[in-house]
Amino acid sequence: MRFSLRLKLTLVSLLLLFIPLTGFRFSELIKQDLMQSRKETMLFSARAVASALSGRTGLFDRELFHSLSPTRDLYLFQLSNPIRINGKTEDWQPELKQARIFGEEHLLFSPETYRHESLHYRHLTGIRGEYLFAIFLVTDDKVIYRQPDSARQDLSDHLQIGVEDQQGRLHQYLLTATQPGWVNGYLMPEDSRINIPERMEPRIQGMWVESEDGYILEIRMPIEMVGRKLAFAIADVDETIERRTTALVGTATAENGGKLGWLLTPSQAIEEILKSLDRPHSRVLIVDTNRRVRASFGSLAEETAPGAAFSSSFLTTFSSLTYQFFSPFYRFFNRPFAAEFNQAVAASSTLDLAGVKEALEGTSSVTSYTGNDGQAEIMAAIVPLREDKKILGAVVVEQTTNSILALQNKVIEESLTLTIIAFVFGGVGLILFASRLSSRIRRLGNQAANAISDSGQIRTTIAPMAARDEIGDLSRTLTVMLRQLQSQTEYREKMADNLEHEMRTPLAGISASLKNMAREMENPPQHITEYLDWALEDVSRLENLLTAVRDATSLKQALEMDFKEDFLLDTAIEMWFLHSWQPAFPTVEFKYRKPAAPITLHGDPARIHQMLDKLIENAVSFHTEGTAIEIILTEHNGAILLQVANEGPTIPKEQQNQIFNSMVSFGRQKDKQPHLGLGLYVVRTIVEHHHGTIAVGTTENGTGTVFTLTL
Amino acid sequence: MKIKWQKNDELGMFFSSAGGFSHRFRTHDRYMTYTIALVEDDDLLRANYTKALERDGYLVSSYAGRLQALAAFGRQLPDLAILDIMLQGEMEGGFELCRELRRQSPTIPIIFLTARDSDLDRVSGLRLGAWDYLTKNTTTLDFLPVRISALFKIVESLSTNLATSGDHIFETGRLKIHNERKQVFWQDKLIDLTLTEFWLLHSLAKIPGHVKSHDQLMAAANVVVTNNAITAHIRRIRDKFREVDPTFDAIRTEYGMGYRWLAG
Repeated sequence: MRFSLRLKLTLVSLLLLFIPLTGFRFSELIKQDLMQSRKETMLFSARAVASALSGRTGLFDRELFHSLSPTRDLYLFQLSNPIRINGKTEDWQPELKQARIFGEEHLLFSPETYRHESLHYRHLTGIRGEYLFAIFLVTDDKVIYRQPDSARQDLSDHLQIGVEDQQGRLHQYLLTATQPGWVNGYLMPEDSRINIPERMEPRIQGMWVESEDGYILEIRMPIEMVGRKLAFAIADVDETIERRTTALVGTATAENGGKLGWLLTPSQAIEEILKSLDRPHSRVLIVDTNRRVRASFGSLAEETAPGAAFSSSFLTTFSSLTYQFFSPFYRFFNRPFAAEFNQAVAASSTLDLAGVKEALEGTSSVTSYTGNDGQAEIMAAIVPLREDKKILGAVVVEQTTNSILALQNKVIEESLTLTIIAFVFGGVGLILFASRLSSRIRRLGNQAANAISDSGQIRTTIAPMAARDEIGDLSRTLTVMLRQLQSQTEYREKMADNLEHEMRTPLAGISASLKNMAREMENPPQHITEYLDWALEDVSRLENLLTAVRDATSLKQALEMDFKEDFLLDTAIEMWFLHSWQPAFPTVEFKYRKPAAPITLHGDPARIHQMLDKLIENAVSFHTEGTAIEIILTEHNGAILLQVANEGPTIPKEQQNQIFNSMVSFGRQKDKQPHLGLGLYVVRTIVEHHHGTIAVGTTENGTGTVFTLTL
Repeated sequence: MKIKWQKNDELGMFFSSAGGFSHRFRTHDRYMTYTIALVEDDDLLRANYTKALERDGYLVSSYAGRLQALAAFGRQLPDLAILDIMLQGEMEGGFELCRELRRQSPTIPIIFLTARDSDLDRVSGLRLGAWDYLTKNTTTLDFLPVRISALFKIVESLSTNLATSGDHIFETGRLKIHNERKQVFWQDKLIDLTLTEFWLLHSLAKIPGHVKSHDQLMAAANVVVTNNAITAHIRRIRDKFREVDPTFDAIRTEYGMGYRWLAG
């Protein structure tokens, strides 16, 4: 497989991908750094809040942070929605999620073994406006209603409400239903032995609705009825004969006022203090030992990112365009987050965070969690809230990590943008550069390839490049090499020519001397005549040699003056066989395969004859004795194909292109004729002059050589 | 002063064996005092050729360079000049000498002696008025005397009355050959051929339509040269005919085996 320079350089340009990698790594470092510093800041803030709160003497006493009982104390939610007393739960959302489950651990009284499925319920107390609302989602396998004619409230499933009013007096109310629908509370006498209610309390209103597994009881009472303590209990009656209470589950009963739980509400006083300690973009929560959020201030709404507006330089304009174009792509790398909360994460009444428990045991920590809806990652610093070495709760400072994520995303985006810009400019630059390089190299390669023909002739020289770089150097080196090669070739060809010229005159002189000698001797003895003849014969041989060289070297100029005409090649070859080759080589067998139709060739018959003479001579001198030399003439699609084949030694493939060069001769058998390796050079020159080609190969059976001419 | 040859031989006479030349000429010694100028810069070759020509009964003055020859020609013109083309480093010294000689005498026979065939093309191109040219090779001496005597015969025939030699005019189609004067006319226009060219053409045209092989042509022209040299001669002959008749096409190549004069 061939890889072009261009492709390679393009692959190398992929190294630009390290830019975003660096960017990612860098953004990760920044993030970690920022996270760390934010953790520290938040811990510091939390400690500051904690110490600010601890400094207020009596604050925690007033705000009921002491001696809390998780089972008795009731937490008063600030309800988000207006509540309609209709037995439906939708309007209780979202606080309803935090409704407490009352079961065995809240069992106040049970004459029999408590059965969970017989009675348990979910309960929530909330405040909205001037009213206190409570909802009970009761699971009861048998719902027993009060008999309409009975005044007693305790002989059916009922709700007990214990209230300490603002004057500190204790009241007990009972709520029953004769059927699903509106219900009212009944004030019970202070003497708990009297089972008949004192009067109906119209301010306590409720709705009793049956549900799949029991009933839903929704009640409302004015806030002024309630002091600081409140208790609820659901009594379960399971049969209609004795109508005894089988289980009482709740925070406390009103029978013993001291056991009423505190009614815990978000502390206005603490929130006022928190307000004064205002910390932007963060939320401070104060949690009591029950992990109840007792005060909160601030919101998690994100600050607007600074420097979000791009300056309008070209690069940034470009990068912002790029950003818009690639934003879907960025999302793939970025961590998604909502830039701003539409509503702050609802304050939970119970903060169920990993760190809170540790804080309540005295350890500070920083924890992260994902806010509701997975909207944001929230970081929370939690420190214990102490008063006189006693832990009363925890301070939780929360902040989203969105700004850090925003920064991280920005770094990622910018590094991606930079990468894309670098890719576009760098890549285009590299590709252009690579194209330029490879085209220059290709041009040089083509020039070099064209400079030398297949047969090793130097056709043209390379124009050296002016560029002062390695390719320029290479081209200059190649030019010098080619020139040297050319001058060597020229020298080689000229040398033959010069040699011939210089030797001709002395040869003529020798021959003239010999002839003068022969003519002037009176009756020379036989052997002297013989010597003279031999000398003359040798001189003539030398001259033939020189003539062969001259014919070859001056062939090109001579060809220019040739007289071309149309003649019948097939007939001509037949003639040449008859009159030229067969007489010249009487012992050699020739086979001539004539074409079906006459073939006309436009050329110089004398030259074609000369050329074929050389080929035949060559074939004869290489052929294995006793085998025939075959000449095949065919015409195919206007191209004349002439093959001269002989059995004998084959020519190695790597030398096949070389043998047509001047002064090249391979493995010539010993032979009377002089050989300078010019014959095939003459053949090629003549063939090329006739715009033909010649190639040498091995015969089909591999035991001989075949020359193929295309004219 | 000049004693002319008494006998006008047929051209064919010279085609007898080479060995006969010297004796033949020697019998005419008493009539012959032709002077030949030989300008050749190779000392040994010059000496050899001088000896050979003197043996054939000519008076030979030999010169190694152009200036010596020129000085001698200023005093006395030879009857015939044999000029080497390249003389002592002067590439075309022989041509210049030829021009000078031709200026002094329009009729003096001049033979160029060249080392290479390609020079002949230049001679032909220059149209210097040489009557013949020969290549210096091992056979030069075999044919040089034949040519010299042939040229002298032409000189003699040119000085005699045309009418007396009317028998020797040969005509075929548009071609007319005056044998003694070695003159060729195509469509009654004189074609200026050298002696070699004349012999070749004569051999071809003698029997129109008959193919003459390279060897036969060589023998007719009293040369031993390569086939290529014959081809070159034929080309030059064609060129000369085409100068007076661009449509000339009477000399046909026979498949590279030889040539043929087209009848008609």
